[in-house]
Amino acid sequence: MTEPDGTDLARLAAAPEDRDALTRLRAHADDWDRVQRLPDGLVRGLGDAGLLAADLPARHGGRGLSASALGTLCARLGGVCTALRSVVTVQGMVAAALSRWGTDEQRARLLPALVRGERLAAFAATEDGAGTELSAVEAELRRDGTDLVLHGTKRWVSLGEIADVFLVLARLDGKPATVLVEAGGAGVCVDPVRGQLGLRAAHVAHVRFDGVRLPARDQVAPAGFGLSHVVGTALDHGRFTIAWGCAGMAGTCLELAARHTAARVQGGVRLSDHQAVRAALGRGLAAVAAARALCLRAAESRQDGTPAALSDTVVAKYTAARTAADVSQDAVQLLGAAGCAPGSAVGRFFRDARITQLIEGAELVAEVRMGDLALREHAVARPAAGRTAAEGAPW
Amino acid sequence: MKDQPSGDPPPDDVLAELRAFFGQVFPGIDLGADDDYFRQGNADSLFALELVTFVEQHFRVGIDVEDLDLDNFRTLGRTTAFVHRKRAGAAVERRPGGPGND
Repeated sequence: MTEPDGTDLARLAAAPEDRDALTRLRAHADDWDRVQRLPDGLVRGLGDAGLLAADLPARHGGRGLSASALGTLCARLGGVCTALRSVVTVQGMVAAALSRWGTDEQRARLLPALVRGERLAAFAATEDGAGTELSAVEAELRRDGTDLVLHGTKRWVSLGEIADVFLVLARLDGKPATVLVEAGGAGVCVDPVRGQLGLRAAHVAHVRFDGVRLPARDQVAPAGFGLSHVVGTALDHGRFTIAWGCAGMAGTCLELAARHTAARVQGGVRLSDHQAVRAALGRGLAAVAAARALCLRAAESRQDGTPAALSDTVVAKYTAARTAADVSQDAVQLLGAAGCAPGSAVGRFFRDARITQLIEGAELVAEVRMGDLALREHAVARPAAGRTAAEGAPW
Repeated sequence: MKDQPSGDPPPDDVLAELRAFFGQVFPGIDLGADDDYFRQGNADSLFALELVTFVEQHFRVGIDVEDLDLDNFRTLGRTTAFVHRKRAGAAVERRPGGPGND
């Protein structure tokens, strides 16, 4: 287990293009993937370097980083290690949801600590029977006097193993509701996951809440708004940082493939002298540029606060995740045995990229959403979704 | 007709602008001012946040957790009334002399 020099994170914060810092951090990342954990103190190191929830306004403890600056940072981290970028993503999701929909008390209690990395948040929404369709969650909050009592099991919680506090989606009075749950509390049982396809260093866990008692002040937003507004805000923020992370991941894979094919000679011919190899690199170059352009477009509409920011972010995340999957797959092919070997960076990115096509909106869901956008744009009436108010109302 | 605070456009304009936004998002669906679009199943959960963003940016009012009440947003008419209440409140807060006498 190697520990990064904290100064590399600080250098990255000051200058996202610092190649020396990126190269050193990337060497650590293959090690973290192998041992399936991030080094102790890394979260605090990210906080010290000012890399956590840095887009929060100063009144909530953040640096007020612009959307494009946050995105650039996530692209750099994503080009190093998906698990490392996931810390920034998840902390940012919970911070965004609280900044947007928390009470003054909740913001004051948590946001500065999240920014400094003194506390790590995780987002617990997915269940066995509710992955893509989060309105199907069965975790339940019951009222008991002025308290709430939470029962339910959440799956695939990134950073769940080491989180201090969870933002949990459940039902209260039959409606979607969100609560903050302290990790160390009675009835919270954390079951770490190991050996999954990718995101191996991201401390993924299944988390059971077995009659966890919460004061009413730990509910975030009224029942009925937990999914559409609180989780919606978190997922939108997550999509944005994942999109940029994927663009960064794809960029790194292209760089590694170009370096390898330019250096390796087989039968007296450099790999990069084969037309088929150059064509693959060319496809990667175009795809990476396209993904970055869509990420920038999403950053601009977020910065402007336009409603299009939400759908622009869906399009950027969909395209960037697909690009990361395609370019990492080509990189594994071009590196051959070196790409498949233990500790191969492109192999790690290939596994991680596949997971980014599932999280924060599976590909198919994004495609349906984008189909709706196409119909909107061309002013074609769609049939109503046909849901009943009870099951479909997003409020 | 009720007096509006100065600088605040008449309610018909807010309603018309909201109607135009809904027309873009749900082309071909003609919504009345009192139609509950969430109950009708026209709105999905991404739309809920699009509406928040539109109202905040277009009418320059802030929507906070205290405003999350279905009754503020379930129809075009209610959303229009919400925008007017918010604008009136903001105008009151800005006025150095405090609320009241115009």
